[in-house]
Amino acid sequence: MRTLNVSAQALLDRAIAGEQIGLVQLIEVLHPTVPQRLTPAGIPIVYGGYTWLPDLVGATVISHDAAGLPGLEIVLPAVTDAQIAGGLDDAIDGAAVRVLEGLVDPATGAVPDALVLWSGTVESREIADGPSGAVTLRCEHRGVRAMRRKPTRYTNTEQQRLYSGDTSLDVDPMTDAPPLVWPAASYFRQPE
Amino acid sequence: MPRALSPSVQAPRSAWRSAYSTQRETLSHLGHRLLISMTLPPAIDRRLVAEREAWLASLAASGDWVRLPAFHRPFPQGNASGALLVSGAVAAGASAIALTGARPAPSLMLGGSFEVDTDANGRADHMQSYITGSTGAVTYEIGPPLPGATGLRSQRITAATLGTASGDAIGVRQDMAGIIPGRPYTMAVSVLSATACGLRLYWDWMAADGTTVLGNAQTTVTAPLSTARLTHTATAPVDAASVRAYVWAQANPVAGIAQINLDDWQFEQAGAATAFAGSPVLRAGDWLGIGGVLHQLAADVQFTDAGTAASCALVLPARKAIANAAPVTLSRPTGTFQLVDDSAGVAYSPGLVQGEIALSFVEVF
Repeated sequence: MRTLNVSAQALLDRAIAGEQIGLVQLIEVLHPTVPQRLTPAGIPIVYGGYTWLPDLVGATVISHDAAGLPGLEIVLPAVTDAQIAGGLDDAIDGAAVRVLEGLVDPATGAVPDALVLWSGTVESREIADGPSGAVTLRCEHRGVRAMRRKPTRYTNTEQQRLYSGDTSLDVDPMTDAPPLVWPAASYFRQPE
Repeated sequence: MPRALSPSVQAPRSAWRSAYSTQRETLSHLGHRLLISMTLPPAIDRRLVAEREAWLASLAASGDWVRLPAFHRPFPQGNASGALLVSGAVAAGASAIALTGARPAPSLMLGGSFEVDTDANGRADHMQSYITGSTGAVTYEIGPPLPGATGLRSQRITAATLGTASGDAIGVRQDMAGIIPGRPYTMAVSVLSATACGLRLYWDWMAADGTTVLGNAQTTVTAPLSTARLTHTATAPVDAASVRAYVWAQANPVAGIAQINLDDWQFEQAGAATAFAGSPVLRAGDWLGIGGVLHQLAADVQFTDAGTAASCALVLPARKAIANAAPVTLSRPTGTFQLVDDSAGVAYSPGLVQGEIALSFVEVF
């Protein structure tokens, strides 16, 4: 388990002591070309060298089920052309998604540390255009992917992945195992 | 001004209270926003009725965005004025800012009490030296306050051998903007001279492009050997946009050492000198406009004589990052607000009486 750094732990201690401390969630969708870094908080947050844009995201409550691998729905605005294009872009399928949470120093607005609450990938998406436009990204927990069955086959490609350099399965049935051609019966009946 | 106005604050948070100690722990979600609810009274004036109808319709057409002032307190209660700037960049979420450039109204001058000498060069902050002609070695020092003056320090200027020509002078000067042509301006300064010499209160009126419009607004007196408050008044000429004000000692009767002590220097738009304004202050509840966002002060702010305040507590944390040297509006600052409901309409009753209109706005960025 990761622990908070000294500054963030000090903020947590102040919160426990009764001081009102800001708490923000940071949502990162690593679209291959246009990574999105957003926060449902009401102000832009600077963390990790990025400015996380406020207000432009909603996320469902992460509810832990018995399997402990909750899914996540992220709702983004689909008002501008760029936002709609982002929702329609196939490249967002499978994009890595992280949700982080950090405490905000009330004096400076700085986020000294943030812990990863959830991580996974975009599984499917939905776009609604009309009086209220929204792009919904349905994301699956990374554990779901980890636990999904991954069939392995008795092929050279798989062997190379598992044991690089092992060519024992690098065979071509047409050349390595040509059909046996038996002589015709007349061959044995030839006069000596 | 609407008939009813209720400013309030939205501060979403999660809290948990211990059942036994009743101590509360609170996490803020940093969605702080100002809210303004107002009621416009019924109207019958045809022009006003039409204006309101057009305004409400145009609100809907513009995304319901509107810039609103703090109607109930458009001007600060404190006497700070001038071109205030934010000192040091501040991230969104920060709850305090530093300010600089505050002048104590009605004075246009910065550092008139000579209290702060940040660079320890013997000259108070914002004061420039004025040395001309035959003076010998000139020394600037921060001295003790003159009798009856405010603060703890004064400005002392000493020349080793001040000449007797009219061009031999030692003093200080400061440039001030915001001059309104045709208005009277008065300079006042407390002076104590250690030697018998002349003293001149002098200023040049400058145009917006920096050229001198009219020089020689001046009076020449004998420097007092016991503390006296000297004043001079002149009217700003046409095209004057700023002023370069001087106080200097000159024309020693006998060439030799000359020393003047200055305190409580004030330059104001007035026909006669008023009491020295002291250091600028802002009061709790005063509104600042920074980058198009309204900020309210949580506590009184006492500026230094040089017009700086290291930490001004804000009621709400900064909703947007604030850049270094961002200008601060004290007079009628406004913020951007949006109608809480999608749109508001008007209703008429017989006689073309426009009914009361209730509007609620929330701050947006």
